Amino acid sequence: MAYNILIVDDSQTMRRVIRKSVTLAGFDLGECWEAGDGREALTVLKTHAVDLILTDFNMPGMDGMEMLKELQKDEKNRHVPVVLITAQDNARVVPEGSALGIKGYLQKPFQPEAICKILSQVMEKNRV
Amino acid sequence: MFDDIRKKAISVVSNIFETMFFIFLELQENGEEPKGRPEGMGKHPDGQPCDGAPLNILRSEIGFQGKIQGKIRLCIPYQLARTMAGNFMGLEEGEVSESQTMDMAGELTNMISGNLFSLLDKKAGCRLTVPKTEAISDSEMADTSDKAGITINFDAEGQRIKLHLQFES
Repeated sequence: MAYNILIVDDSQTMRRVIRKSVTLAGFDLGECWEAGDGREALTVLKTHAVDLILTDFNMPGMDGMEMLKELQKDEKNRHVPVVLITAQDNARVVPEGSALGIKGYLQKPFQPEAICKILSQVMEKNRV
Repeated sequence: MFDDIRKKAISVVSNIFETMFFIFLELQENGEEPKGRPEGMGKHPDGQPCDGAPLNILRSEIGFQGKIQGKIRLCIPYQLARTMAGNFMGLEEGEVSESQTMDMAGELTNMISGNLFSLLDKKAGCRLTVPKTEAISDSEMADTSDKAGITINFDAEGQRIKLHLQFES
C-alpha cells in the first residue's frame, strides 16, 4: 500500500533530501507534498489527503509545534501520524509531543535506512 | 568548560560531515592554513567578477538561548559548499544553484548547532534561531574568529572551514 506524505521544512534542500531518502530506502511512497512552514502545511492539508506528516521543529513563520496545535483543531487531519525530523534532541518536545500526534522522532543527520525504519514503524502502529 | 565544548564540537562537526556529506575533516591546530588551496577561489559565488574583495566564503549564523547563550557561526568556501550541496542532494555540481548552496550551508549549521547543544544541555535544550547565511570575503572570515569564544579550524580537501562559538554573558 503506497502512502501519501507531507514534508514540512523551511529548507528546500532538506525537503529534497528527505524525499530522496524516503524513496531510496524503499518506503512505499505514493504522493509526496511539500511545505516550507506550518502555515503552508495547513494549506496543503485542506486540499490533499495525506497518510503521514514529516515535519521539522524550528521554522520561521509557524513552527512545527504551532502547526501541530492548529492541526489538533482539524477534525479531518488531527489523527494523521506525525514524525518529527529535527537537528535537536527530542527531549524538549517529547513531553507535549505525544499529545500533539507525534508518533516518532528522527534526529538529523540521518541515514536513509533510519528514516524508512521509523516511517514503517509509525505506519504499522497506526494501522493497528 | 570550554575544553569540553570544543571537544564535543569537533566530534559533532566531523560526524555530520562524514555522515551526510561523505567528507573527512582534518583538525587544524594553531590556525595553520590548509595545504593546496585550489585556484579559482577569488570569484563571487555566482562566478561573476566583483568589485573589491571577492565574496567566496559562505557564513551561516545561528543564535542559541538557554543555560548558555550566544551565536554559532560556520564559514565554508563557496565552492566546497556547492560540492557538498551536490553530494547532499544527489546532484552533479553543475546542477546546484546558488540558493541551494546557501540553503545547504544554513542547514549544515543547523545540524551542527542542534547536535552540539543537545549534547551540552540535554535536559532543557537550547532554543535555536533560524540560520542566516551570507557571502563574505576571506578577510571577513578572519574577522569572524577575532571575537571572544571558541574557534575551531578544519581542513576539508585543502579548503578551510571555520566554526566559531561566541558566548554572551
